Amino acid sequence: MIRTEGLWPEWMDRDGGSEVWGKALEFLPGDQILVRAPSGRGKTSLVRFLTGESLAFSGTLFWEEKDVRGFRPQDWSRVRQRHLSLVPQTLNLLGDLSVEENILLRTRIQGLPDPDWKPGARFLGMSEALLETPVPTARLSQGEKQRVALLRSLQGPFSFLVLDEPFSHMQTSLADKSWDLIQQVCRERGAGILLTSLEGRVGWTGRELAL
Amino acid sequence: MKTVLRGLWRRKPWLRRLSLAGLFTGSLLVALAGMFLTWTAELESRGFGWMEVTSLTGINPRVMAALKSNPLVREAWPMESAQFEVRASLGFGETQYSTELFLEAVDSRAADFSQEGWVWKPGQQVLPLVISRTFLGLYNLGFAPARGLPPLYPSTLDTIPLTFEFSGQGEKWVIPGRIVGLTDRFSTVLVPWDFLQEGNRKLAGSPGGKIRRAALGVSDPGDPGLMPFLRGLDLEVYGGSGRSSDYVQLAQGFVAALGGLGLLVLALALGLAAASLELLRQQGSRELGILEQFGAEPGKIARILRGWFFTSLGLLAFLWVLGTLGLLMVFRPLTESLGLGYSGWWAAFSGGLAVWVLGALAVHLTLVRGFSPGSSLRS
Repeated sequence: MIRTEGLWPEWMDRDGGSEVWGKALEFLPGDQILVRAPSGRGKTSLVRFLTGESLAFSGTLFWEEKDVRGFRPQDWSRVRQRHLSLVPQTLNLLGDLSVEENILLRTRIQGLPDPDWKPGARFLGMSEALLETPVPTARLSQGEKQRVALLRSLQGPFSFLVLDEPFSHMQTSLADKSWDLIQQVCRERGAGILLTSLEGRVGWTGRELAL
Repeated sequence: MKTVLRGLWRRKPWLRRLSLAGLFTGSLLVALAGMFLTWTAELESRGFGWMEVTSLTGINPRVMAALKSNPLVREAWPMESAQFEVRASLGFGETQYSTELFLEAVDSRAADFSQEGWVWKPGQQVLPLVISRTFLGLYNLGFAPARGLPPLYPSTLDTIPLTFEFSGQGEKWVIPGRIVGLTDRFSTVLVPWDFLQEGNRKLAGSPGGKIRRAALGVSDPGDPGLMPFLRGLDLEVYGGSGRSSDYVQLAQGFVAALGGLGLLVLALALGLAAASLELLRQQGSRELGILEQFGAEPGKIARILRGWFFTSLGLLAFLWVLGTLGLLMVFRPLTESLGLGYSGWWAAFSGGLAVWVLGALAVHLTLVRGFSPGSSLRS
């Protein structure tokens, strides 16, 4: 479980209009939360706080009832290996590595057997050439990179999936397909989803919070 | 993860290679300096406090008494010389070498060699000899290579086929000789005192020849009063086993400076090794950050990098050991003829080994500091 108490980015003025900042929130496995906000309201900051990338906040953030301010890097390593998967807005792909090497990064870091990731890639419309040829990811289009980052986030164990504007470079049809895949995988694992977006999603059934 | 790290490892490797080259050079210099200084110290300690004095006019009993009564002189022994003709022949198969020789004898109480077999009785079949270790070195370094002869080792000296012809007063003795020991104290060829007495009496007709040389044991060869005292007795100092020659001191200073340079190179190499890892961390900050973001433990990354660095270090250390062993093989005849044990090699090995251990420690500490589980890889 992830829990926040009065969380505020240090850099942000406290204006009181947010449903997240300054509030007490709980994020449980199986929850689906859409955090919606225009640019500059701290969507990426929230993701960075939740994933241990930054502690530049006031208030308290708990992972499994432990204050993250007391976390050591190895604690975060454990969380990232077992509980947390992520699609950062910057994607953070390793450009020299192939599609497959990027997608299997999480599992290989943990020494887990390679999962079969290709059906998911085909479902997202990735070409067979990309699946079979060790093309450096740096050469892919932004949309292809986004799909690689998304597929990477779905491999290996996790109970929370955090996605920071993951569909920003995708056509609506592809974004819908991606969302279907995300939901399917998370449903199978009972994992929670936290999605940030500039706008709401049509047919969203989970919680929606304005930042 | 290893793929990513390998990519980072291969990025701009020159700093790391330079540090490894520095470690190799530093270890060589430190080892060579250690070896040389250990051996020269060992050589110096031999026969320390002993010197040979010579007087063309002869050392009479009055001079001997003066020598013995001076507190600077621990002991003084006359060195008797052969008054008859001596010719030595050395045979290796069909090759025969023959030369005139000069023999001396000194009281066995002044000897620095084993007394086993050091005896002469009239009618004895073989004459025991002790030669200066310097002569063996000269033979191995100069004579033997020039004539294509094999080097001689102290352990095999007694197998050298020597034959002596002693003549005088119309008489001629042919006696096989056998080298039974080496001396660091006397720069001469020694035979037992009794043999020289008998030879001088029967072949030269002079039972007690004129004493021109003496061996002195002194407490402090560097005592400023010693040389004026000896010169006052009209004695010239020969040999000088009591103090290092200026050349040796110069060489020692040079080698010590070389060792100091080795330590400096070593310090720079260790700094470069640390800098190369720090550079890797900074240049690969993004990649390392991504690895960490997706669950990699900094400690595991450090272990992988340490393994690679240690492999390079180990390989170079192995080459260094091979090189040192090669040097040992090449210089074995020389060191053996000088009677040098393994102390120099051990000094070289331990000095070099200390360098490699230090290198490994520097790499380890840098990795512990930069990639420890307690510190994030991202700046």
